[in-house]
Formats: sequence, C-alpha cells, structure tokens
Amino acid sequence: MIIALLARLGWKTRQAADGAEAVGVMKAGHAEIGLALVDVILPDTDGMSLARQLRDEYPRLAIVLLSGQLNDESRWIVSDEGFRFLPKPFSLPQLRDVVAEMLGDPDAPDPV
Amino acid sequence: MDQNLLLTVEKLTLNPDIQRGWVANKTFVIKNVPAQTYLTISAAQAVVLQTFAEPVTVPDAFARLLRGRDCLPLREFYELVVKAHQAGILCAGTVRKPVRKTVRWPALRAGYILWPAWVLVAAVFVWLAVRVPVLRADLTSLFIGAGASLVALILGQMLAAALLAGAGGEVYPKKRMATFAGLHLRLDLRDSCLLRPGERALIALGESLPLTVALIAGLCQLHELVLPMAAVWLLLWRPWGAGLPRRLAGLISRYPQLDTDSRFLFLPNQRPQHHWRAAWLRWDWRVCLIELVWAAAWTLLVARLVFGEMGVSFMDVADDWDYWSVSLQALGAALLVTIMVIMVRRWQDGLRQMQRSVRQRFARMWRHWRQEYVFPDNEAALLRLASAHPLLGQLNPYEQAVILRSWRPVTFHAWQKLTEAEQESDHVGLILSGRATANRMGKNGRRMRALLLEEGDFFGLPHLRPDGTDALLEVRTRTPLAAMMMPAEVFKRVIVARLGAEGVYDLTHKYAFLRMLPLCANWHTHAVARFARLAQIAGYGDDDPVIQEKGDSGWFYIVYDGIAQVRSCGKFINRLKAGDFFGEISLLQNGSAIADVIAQGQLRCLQIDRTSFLRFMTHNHHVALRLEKISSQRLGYPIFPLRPGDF
Repeated sequence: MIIALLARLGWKTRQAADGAEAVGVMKAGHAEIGLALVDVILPDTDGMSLARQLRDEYPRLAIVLLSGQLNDESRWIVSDEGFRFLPKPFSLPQLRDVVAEMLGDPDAPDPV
Repeated sequence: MDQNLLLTVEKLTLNPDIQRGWVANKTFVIKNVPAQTYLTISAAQAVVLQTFAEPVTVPDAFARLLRGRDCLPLREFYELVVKAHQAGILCAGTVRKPVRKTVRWPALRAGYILWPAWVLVAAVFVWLAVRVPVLRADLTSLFIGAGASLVALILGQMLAAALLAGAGGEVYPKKRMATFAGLHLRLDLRDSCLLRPGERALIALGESLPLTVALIAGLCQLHELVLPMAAVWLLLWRPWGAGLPRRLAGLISRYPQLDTDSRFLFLPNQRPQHHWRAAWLRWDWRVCLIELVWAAAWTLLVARLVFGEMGVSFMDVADDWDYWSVSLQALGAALLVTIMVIMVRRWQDGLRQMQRSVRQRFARMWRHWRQEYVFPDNEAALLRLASAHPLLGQLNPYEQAVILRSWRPVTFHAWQKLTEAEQESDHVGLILSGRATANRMGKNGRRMRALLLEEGDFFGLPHLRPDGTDALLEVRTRTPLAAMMMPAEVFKRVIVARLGAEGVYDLTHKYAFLRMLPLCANWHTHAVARFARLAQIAGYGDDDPVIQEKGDSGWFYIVYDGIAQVRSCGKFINRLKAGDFFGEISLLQNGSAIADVIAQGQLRCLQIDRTSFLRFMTHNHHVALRLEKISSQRLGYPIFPLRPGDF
C-alpha cells in the first residue's frame, strides 16, 4: 500500500518484510536510500530498535516510524528518541508532507 | 523488544503452554513448558497475569486492574510484565520462545535417603572439625583426588536428575558448559523449583551425597585424597552465592524470593533503594539465622583446617590480640571493598542513569551561561526543529515554512527585560536556549513569578483567551538567552488561525506551567503537551467546594491560580497553592474522596476527567510511578495493593 502511494508520488522504493531484511537492504543500497519508513511492530524485532540501529549505522538516513497502535498518549515514546512519527492510517497528502519534510521537494529531478 | 513499546503498544497474551508448580506461602513457580523458562510469582501476581488471558495491551490491563481494585504496586506490576514477557509467559502475538529438548532420564523414588544424607553431612562436618585431617598431598594425589571429586559430582548430578524425574520433573541439557567440571554441570535441574519443598531438599542433598560419601571414605582410608575432596565439598556447602545451605534455607522462608524482587529489568527499578527495599520486605529471621549460623560455622571450620595445616593451634590464634588487631582491619577493608564491588555491579545501571542526568543538568547550565548555542543555519535544520516542537509540529510543512521564513535569531543578555506586563508585544519569541521568568503583578504591586520559561517555550504571546484571563506577563531572562523572534502578526495569522486560540493557549501557557511543576519534572515534552491538551480550566469562587469528602470525585485537579484548603471532618489539614494537585487518590483507588477541598478566594484549577486521566496515566509509566509515590506519601502507607478498608 505504502509502496503504491510512494510510487504515485514518484519515489523509487525498496521494501523489507522484517528487521533483518531491512538491515540487509540498507547495507546493499545505503548510498541510494534517503528515507526509511519503519513500522513499530515487526515480526522479528521492534521498529524502535531497528530505527536506532539504522540511525547508528547511517546517521544521515531520515527515519519515520509508522504505527497504528501508538496514539496521542504514547507518542512520547518515539518523540523521546527524536524520530519522526506518522500514525496509521494516513492519507496520501500526509505521507507526501512527511516525505517532503524529510527528503525535500518531491518534484526535484531524479528522486530516490 | 523496546521496553517502552512493550509497556505501551504491544498486545500481550498469556501463553497457554504454562504449568504451575507447588504452592507454598501463596507463592509458586510457573513454567513456560516449551521454552523451559520459569517465573516465581505470588497469588496476587497470578491475578495480574490472568488479565492477559485475551490479547490486551499493558495500559488496558492496568486500567482493568484499577477498575477491579486488584492493582499491584506499580514497580512490581511493570517488573512482572517485563519478566513474564522475557520468560515467554506473556507473548506478543504468535511469537513464542523456541522449544528446548528434554533429556530422557531414569526415575528414582528414594525419599528415604533424606535423613541419612543429612546425617552424613553432619558427620563430615563434625569429623573435619574435631579430627583435623592431614591435608598434605603430592601432585599425583591432588590429581586423583580432583578426579574423584569430579566423578562424585557427576554421580551427584545423575542421582539428583533421577530424583527429579522420580518426583515428576523434567531434566534438560544445560545451555552452556560451566567453568569448573563442565561435565558435572551439563544437566539442568531447574525443574525442581516446581516441586514441594521436601522434594527440592532431597534433590539438593542428592547432588552432594556421592561427594559426601567419597569424603567419608577418604577420611577413613584414603587420607591423601582428602584435600581436593574437602575443598570441593566446602565449596559445595559454601554459605554464599548458590551454595547448598542457602538453597536449603530458602525452602523454609515465609517470604520466598519472587522474581520481581531482584535482578530488575524494568529500568526505573534499577535504583539502589529498590534493591534494599525488596530485600527488607522479604526478610525472614529464621532463614537469616540459619545462614548466619552456617556462615560462622563454615568460616571457623575453614580457619581451623588452615591453622591445623600451618601447625598453629586455633585457640592460640584466637587469644592473640596482636593478630586480631591486624587481621580484623584487613578483614574489614576486604569486606568493604567486596560490598562496594557488589553494590557497583548491582547498581551500575541506576548509577549510570543518575550520572547521566546530573551530567545533562550541568551541561545545560554550562551551555546557557557560556552562550554556546549555535542557531540552525539551514532550512532543513529549522524544519526539524519546528517538527519536534509540540505546537509547531502540528502545522503542515508549508505553514511551518511560512513561520521559518519569518524567524529572526536574537540573543539576549542575562537579566534583560523581554516584554512588559499588560503590554502587547509586536514580536513573539521561541526560546532555543536559556531560561527566563514570566512575572505577574500581585495585588500589592509586587512581582510574582508565574512561569519559568525554558527551551521550547514562547514569550511575548498575544491574548489567547476571550475572557481575558491570560494576563500579559512581564518576561525577564535569567541566563543568556537565544530565541527565534517572529512578528506577532505572523503568529496570529498562521499559528492561532490554524490551531485555534484555545489550542495555542494549551501548548504555550498551560504547557509552560506544567513543565515547571515537580510532578511533571521527568515527563517527556510530548507527554506534558498531551496533558496540557487534556486539562480544562475550571474556576471556583470563595468557599466553593471543589471536592467533597466521601463524595464521588471523577476528576484530577492541579491548582492553576489561587489557594485551596484541604479539610477532613471539618478539620484543616493543608493549604494548596499553584502547582499542587489533588484528586488522584480516589481515581487510583477507584473510590471516593478522602477529604474536602474548598476554594479560598478565587481559585482556578486545571482538571482532567477520570477516563482521560487514567488513559494518560496508564500510557505513561513514569507518570503513574510518580503519582503512586506521592499518593502513598500523602496516605502514609502504600496505595497499592488496596486494603479492604480503602473506599
């Protein structure tokens, strides 16, 4: 779903099913990846741990955490770590705004 | 798993594959059968775990327990959840701990060896004490003796495993080889914790029985093998660590050690005082006496053996004051160093946390006064700054961009006046570094501190409340201050128009007010912001009752402005001023108010209804812990668990 939305916005995407695969994807293509959208609940680990690991390994990588479980009361968990957070479900304009904020102008040439 | 996520977001379910052990003193062990993990819990903790019979998040379970008045002390509750999750007893979704294989082992029912085993142990002890054996041995004898000890330990393990299997327990392979006698320690006999105390004692004694028999044989006939065997036997019966006497003494304790009482995983528990507290609550004089007596006897026995080997009479040494004057000092110093090492090892996480917070506080103060703040110089950094702010983060990127374009970095000196009282400023500032105070004029014309402004707070705000209750405050810096200034017109046009005056008031005035309260000192900024959004302002006239004793109080209150009196049965108890709070005890106890609260003069309170308050508190464990602590202090006894008379 998110892949399709991002494709509609003109971004190239790569996806991973779990934390271990995400680390592998980042290792293989970190030069081309500018933003990681990480779900808070993952099959093998949790989004926070993965986001911390990615931030440690790739300090320039922008990271946005996605969750349908985190609400206004528990948002402090991700804010405390300084991550950007996007609650699910979200609309196309919301996703566009967050991606634009993290990566810059979506109409810039050759987006990655 | 991140602990905050686990305690907030994750839906947990009670693992169906669990087995309950023998109940003693309302305490028992539950076992995750496939993963062979164990958790010692009390009956009250079992009630808490039952709340997770169907998938539920920790905040929801906590709210249910509060409603049912079954809540444990919160540190224990969170520790239990974290430990139960680690043991796989509470599972997230379908994730289960991996299955470990069992070892097939022949069963042996031999309850009759219990008393003979005790007699043999006593015989060995008396023999060693009375007839001090010759402990000299050549290298070959040492090797043979060590080998014999190892064989005896292996036999002991096999015997204990057979006794465990005979009592209905399961034997597992040890996860990893231990340092000494790896072969001996390859069997995992932890399943014995599910059995009755008598069976557990039998298994523990069974472990040492072959070695005890071998040592008696050595004392009778094979004198050259006694030294290594006696050393291993004394190690097995050591009075510290996991020595057999401590394991056996623990079986008769009236307050068996729960898993939530030690080796804390819940981060706020990892502070020194919690270790002492748990140890004190579980202290049983009978166990303590047994351990002390055994420790003294064991130490004297070892001293006697060593002195005997050195050719010195034990009594000669005991009478020699010169010897004791030196050795007691050395012993005291060694004891002190040992205690310090143990304390540092146990409390290292808590000490690290404390050190970090002190360092951060001083670093911030240093940064303020050194004026080391560097303003962000690019739009991306400014956008990040705006996104992280509780108020500006609610604007979309385009509105944020408008704000950023209007920003102008300004630095102020310490003790400089930024805005005048009751005078609308033409610029609004966002503090990026430094501190300031916002003062209002009192009735007597003196300045009174209304707010303490820090990083993230605004100053120079326009009127935001239609009733005009938000006085324009005089703001004065307390340290050198770095701020982003924007025209008040842009602030009104973009922020106030988009978020509404009420929302802006919540995240500026209320937010700054809450942030300076001791109650909110350790809350995260977004938690404070959320609390500010939830809190409504209510006004009370002179002598108006805010809460009535024994009445239903569905609100949590913080005095915003004015003074309130607390009375119980018509008797004055306390006076509450701005920043003090009340009403939390009846909400936590799900009961009625315990005192009257009456306005003294004009009073304004921030108040939150029961549902919102409980929802907020259950999602913020640091808030819940703080409220529990304050409520307990006010009551004079722990608020949780509730007592039958608490209504």
